[in-house]
Amino acid sequence: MIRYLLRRTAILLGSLFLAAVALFVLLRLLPGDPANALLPVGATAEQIEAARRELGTDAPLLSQFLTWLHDVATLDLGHSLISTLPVGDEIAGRLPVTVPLTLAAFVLAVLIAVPVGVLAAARADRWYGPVINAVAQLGIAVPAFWVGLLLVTVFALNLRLLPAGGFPTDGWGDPAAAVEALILPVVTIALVMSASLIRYVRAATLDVLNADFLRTARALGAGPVEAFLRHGLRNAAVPVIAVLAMELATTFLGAVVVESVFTLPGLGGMLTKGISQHDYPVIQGVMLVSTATVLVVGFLGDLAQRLVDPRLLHRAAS
Amino acid sequence: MSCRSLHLYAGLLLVLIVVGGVLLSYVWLPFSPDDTSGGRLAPPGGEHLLGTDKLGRDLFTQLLIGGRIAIGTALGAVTVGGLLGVTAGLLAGFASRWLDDAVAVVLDILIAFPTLLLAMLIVAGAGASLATAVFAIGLAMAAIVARLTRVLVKQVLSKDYITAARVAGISWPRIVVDHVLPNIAPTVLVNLALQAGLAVLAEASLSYLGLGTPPPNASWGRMLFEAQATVLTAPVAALAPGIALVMLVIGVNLTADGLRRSVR
Repeated sequence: MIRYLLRRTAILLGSLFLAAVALFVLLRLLPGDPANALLPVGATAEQIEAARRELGTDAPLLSQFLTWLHDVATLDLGHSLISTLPVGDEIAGRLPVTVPLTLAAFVLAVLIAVPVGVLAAARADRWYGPVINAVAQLGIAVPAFWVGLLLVTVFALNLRLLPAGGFPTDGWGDPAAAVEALILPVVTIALVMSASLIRYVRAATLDVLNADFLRTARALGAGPVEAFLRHGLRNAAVPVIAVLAMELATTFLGAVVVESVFTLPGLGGMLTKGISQHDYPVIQGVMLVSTATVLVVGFLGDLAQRLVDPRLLHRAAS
Repeated sequence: MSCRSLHLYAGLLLVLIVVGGVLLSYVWLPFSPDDTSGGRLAPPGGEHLLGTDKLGRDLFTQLLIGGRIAIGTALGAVTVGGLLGVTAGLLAGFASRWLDDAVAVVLDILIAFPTLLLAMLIVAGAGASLATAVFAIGLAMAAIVARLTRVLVKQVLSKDYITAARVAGISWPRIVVDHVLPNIAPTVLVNLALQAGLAVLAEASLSYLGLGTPPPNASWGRMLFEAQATVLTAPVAALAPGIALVMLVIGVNLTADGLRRSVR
C-alpha cells in the first residue's frame, strides 16, 4: 500500500505541475493581450507598453512562468484586472456556495442512483427494469441547464415554492435562506448526474449477480438479499467507486453551468465572468483551483478503490 | 425485432428527423432568419408555428437554423477528435516503451481536464465563436479517442497475423492500412458516435453560457438562454430547443448503442 501511495502521489504532483504548465502556456500562447483589458479602445503604444510592464507580461515567458509558479506555491493567485481584488480572496468567498452545492448534489445523486441501479439490475425481468433504463437513457441526453430551467419554471415561477435564483447576500448568515436557495440547483445536478450513475451501478450489479461466487453463496443457503449484501455489494462497489470519483469531478463542473441558471455567486459565475471580461488572473486562478480539485478527487478515488479491493494493489504493478 | 435493431432504428429515426430539418432549412425556411414582422413574442399557431421570440423572429426558423449548428458541431468535433485522436493513438501504440508511457501520462492528464473546462480555457484566449467551440470540443475528444486507439492498436499488434505479415516482409504503413485500421475501426467509430452526442451537449452548454456561437446565430443553447427570461409568457420558446436537443442526443446515443451491440 505504501509503495502504491508513493507512486500515486508522485503521479498526482506531476499532473498538477503539468496542468499548471498547460494552463499557463495555453493562456499565454492564445491570441489576445491581457493588457488590452486594462486599456480603453485606441490606447497609444506607450500606454500598452506601460500596462504590460505593470502586469509583468513584458518579461520573458520562462521568468513569467517561474514568478507565477512561485506566487501560486505561496497561495497568491494575483489580482483581478477589473476589480483589482485578490483572486484568492474572491475564490475563497465563492467556495461556500460551490462546495455545499457540489457535495449535496453528489450525495443526493448517489442516494438516488445506488438503490435504483441495483433494483434495475436485480429486477431486470419486471416492468420497471426497462423503464429505469429508458429514463436513465433520457437523463444522459438532457443538458443540465435545461433541467434547471424547467425546474425553475415549475417550482419557483408557477408554484412559488422556492426562490428562482440568487443567494442571500450575507451568505450562510441565515442558514434556512441559504439552503432554500440551493435546493433547486442541487436537485438539478443530482437528477442529471444520477442518470449516468444508474447505468454504471446497474452494469456493475449485473456483473456481480451473474458471478460464480454469488451462486455458491446461494447454494450454501444464503438468501438472495443476504448473499448480495455480504458478497455482492463490495464487489459491485469497485468499478462504481472509480466512476464516482469521476462523477464528483463532473458534478463540480456541472455546477459551473447550473450556477449560471440560478445566478448563484459561485466559482462558475466567477469563471464565466472572467472569460467574458478577459480577466486573465481570474481565469487562471479558477481554472487552477478547479483542475487541482479534479486531480485530487481522482487521486482519492483511486486510493478508495484500493482500500475496498486490495487485489488491485498487486495488479497495478503491471 | 431484437433489442439491438430496435435501438439502432429508433436512434436513426430521431437523427434523421433532425438531419431532415437541417436539409430542409437549406432549401426552404418559413421566414427569413432576421424577419421581425411577426411582432414580439407572438404565441404559437397561425403563420408562426412555434410563435416568435422577443425580437419578433420566427422561432421555427431559428430552430431549423439551430439544427445546422448542432449537426455542424457534431460532425466538426468528431472530425477534429477522430483525426487527431486516431493519429496520436496510432503513434503511441507504435512508439517505444518510454515514449508510449509519456504519451499515456499526458493523455491521462488531458482527460482529467474535463471537456467543458478545456473548451472554456480555449474560448478564453481565442474568443467565443462556433469554430473555437468546435475545435475545443474536438480537442478534448481527441484525448479520449487517442487513449482508446492506443489500447486497441497494442492489442492488434500483439496478434500472430501481424507477426506473420512482418515476416512476409510487409512494410509498417501497409500493415497499418491493411490490418490495424480495419480491426480498430468498428470500436473507434462507435466511440466517436457516442462522443458526437456529448459534443452537441457541450456546445449547447457553452452557448448557453454565452461562450459558444455568438448572437444573432441561433444555437439551441443560446435560444434556451434567451427564452429563460420570458419563460412564463412564452413557454414554447423554452421547450422547443430543449426537446430538439434531447431528440438529437438520444438519437445519436441510441444509434451508437445499437452499433456497439452489432459490432460485438
